[in-house]
Amino acid sequence: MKRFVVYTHLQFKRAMHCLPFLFLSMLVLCLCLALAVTAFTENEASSADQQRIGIGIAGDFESQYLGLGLSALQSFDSSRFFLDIEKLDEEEARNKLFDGELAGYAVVPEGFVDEAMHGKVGKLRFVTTDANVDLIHLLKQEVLTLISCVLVESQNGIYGMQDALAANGISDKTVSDLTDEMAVEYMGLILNRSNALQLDVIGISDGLSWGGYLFSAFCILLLLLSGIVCCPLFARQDHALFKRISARQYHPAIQVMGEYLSFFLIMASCLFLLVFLMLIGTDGISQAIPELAGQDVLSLLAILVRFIPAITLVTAMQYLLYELSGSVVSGILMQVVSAAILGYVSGCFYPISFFPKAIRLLSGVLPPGIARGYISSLLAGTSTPQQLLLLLIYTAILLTLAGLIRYHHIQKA
Amino acid sequence: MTFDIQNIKKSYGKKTPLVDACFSLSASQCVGILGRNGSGKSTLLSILAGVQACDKGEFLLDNEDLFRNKKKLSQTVGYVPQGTPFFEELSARDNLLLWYERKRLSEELSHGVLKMLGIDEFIGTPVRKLSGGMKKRLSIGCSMANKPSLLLLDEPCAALDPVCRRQIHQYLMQFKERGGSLILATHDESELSLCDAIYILKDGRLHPYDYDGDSARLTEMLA
Repeated sequence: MKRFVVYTHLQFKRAMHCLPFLFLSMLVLCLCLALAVTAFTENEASSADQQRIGIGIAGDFESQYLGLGLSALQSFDSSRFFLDIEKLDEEEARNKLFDGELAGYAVVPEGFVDEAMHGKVGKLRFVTTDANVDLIHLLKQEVLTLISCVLVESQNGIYGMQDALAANGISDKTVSDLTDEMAVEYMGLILNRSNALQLDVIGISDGLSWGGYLFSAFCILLLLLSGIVCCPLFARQDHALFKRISARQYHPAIQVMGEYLSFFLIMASCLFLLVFLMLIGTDGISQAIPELAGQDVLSLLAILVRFIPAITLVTAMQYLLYELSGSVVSGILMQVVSAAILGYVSGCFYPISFFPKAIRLLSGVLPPGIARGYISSLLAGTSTPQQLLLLLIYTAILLTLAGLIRYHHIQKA
Repeated sequence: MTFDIQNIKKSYGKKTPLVDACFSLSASQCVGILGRNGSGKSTLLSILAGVQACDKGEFLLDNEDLFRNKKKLSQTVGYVPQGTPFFEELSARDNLLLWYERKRLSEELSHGVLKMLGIDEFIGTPVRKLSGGMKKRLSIGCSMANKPSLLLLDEPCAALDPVCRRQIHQYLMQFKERGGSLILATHDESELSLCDAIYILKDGRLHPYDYDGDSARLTEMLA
């Protein structure tokens, strides 16, 4: 025990040498990530008014039915809260599509509506981009269903009414006015939006808001990238020193635990300090994370302290990578590559729900993925003791592996 | 006090650097071990220091096998490895704390072995700023923590200037005069003058060698 205390104390003194660089690096990374996150969340604004999908209608507007139909859609259709239909010419529509202002536009060929009213259904061309294909496909199905519903369901009734009025000697003008009135009535009756596409905002993943998810991913990514700074301290090529002190009863287990604890302490303290300052120093940030909004300083601290198991897992993984690397250069490379690849697969760059099932399963067994998932569940209030146990067991396994590798290095040195 | 090294064998896969190493030394005696690069000198010393295990063999101190008593082994034997491995970011004092307790460290710095080695002059300096000679003295100082009876030195004066070599040699002579035993693994003929007995490690065995100052003969023996 005494040797463990001595060794850990000395390792902490060593780690303190790189603390200023670590803090500065984290600060710079923090600023870069925060800027990226801010830009991303502003684009993906969550307010109800801006959750609109712009659809353009270009082509033949001469038909009064088309104009009537579009107006009716916007008047009666509750999906106007997410569908913004705009009439414009094709070139303007194309430009707006490429600018991202429209998700797609429909081109109504000349005489389309009149042909449709006489039973001929022409082809409506719909233009969109790769990014919107899936969503637009849904909308297309919905719009086509609406169109066929309006045309087919109302057609028979209107024709029947026209025939009845003509048979009773009603004038053409009156028939025309009544036809328009009936069409509007049909719109109101037929346009049943209860089966329309309904947008339910349940959170991006794990029941979290966008802000909450991004915050959890941000913390893990910051840790992963900051591991590079400590490479000169912990990624050693020459194991002669470890061999020598092992003869002095500083066994591999003592060496590994002492070094890991010092590494964990400086990483955790830098992360806590930065994140805490960021949350209390900027009102906007904590408001953008609904899970943390309205929390006082002590509550925020209590929440951050609960992140410790996740930090132990990520730092244990980084420490194992240090042990595996044979030099500072290879240590840096391993940290960079693992931060990029593991961070991506673990949902630190994109929400994990965007990935295929196989990737989601993989994320569930990787240390950064498990750690991010744990922080997410803490924020969402759904964390379980089993998650905590898994984290601790996984950390123990990684550190045991690091100890075995150190033992092997000592034997080989 | 007599140290007996008997039938030490060590192999790494297909390589067997030590087949059957045997020799003895007593108090105030210095044994020199010569050999080509890769002959197994460092391996032998690290086995005797308890840093790594041998496949078979005994290391007897007055008929007690030190390999079976690690605590006594670490108390009896001091090991100065080749190179000067330290935590470069820490000061000489901090590195010494791995070997000495605080109170004893202060005593040794004021009037003990660390004072004799001159380590008190650079005790607060980070190791990365020390010269090669200072680091070697610090390394010897570390190995003296347990007041060992036997000091194992692996090429103690490699890459040191003549002044530093003389300082190290002087200290080793003093250690011998105080009753300590030395085992030196070396390429340096100048260190052979310290030795009371010389062995050449060749083909995994130690062969006694009577050094008469003839370098050519020595080279031929090593080949």
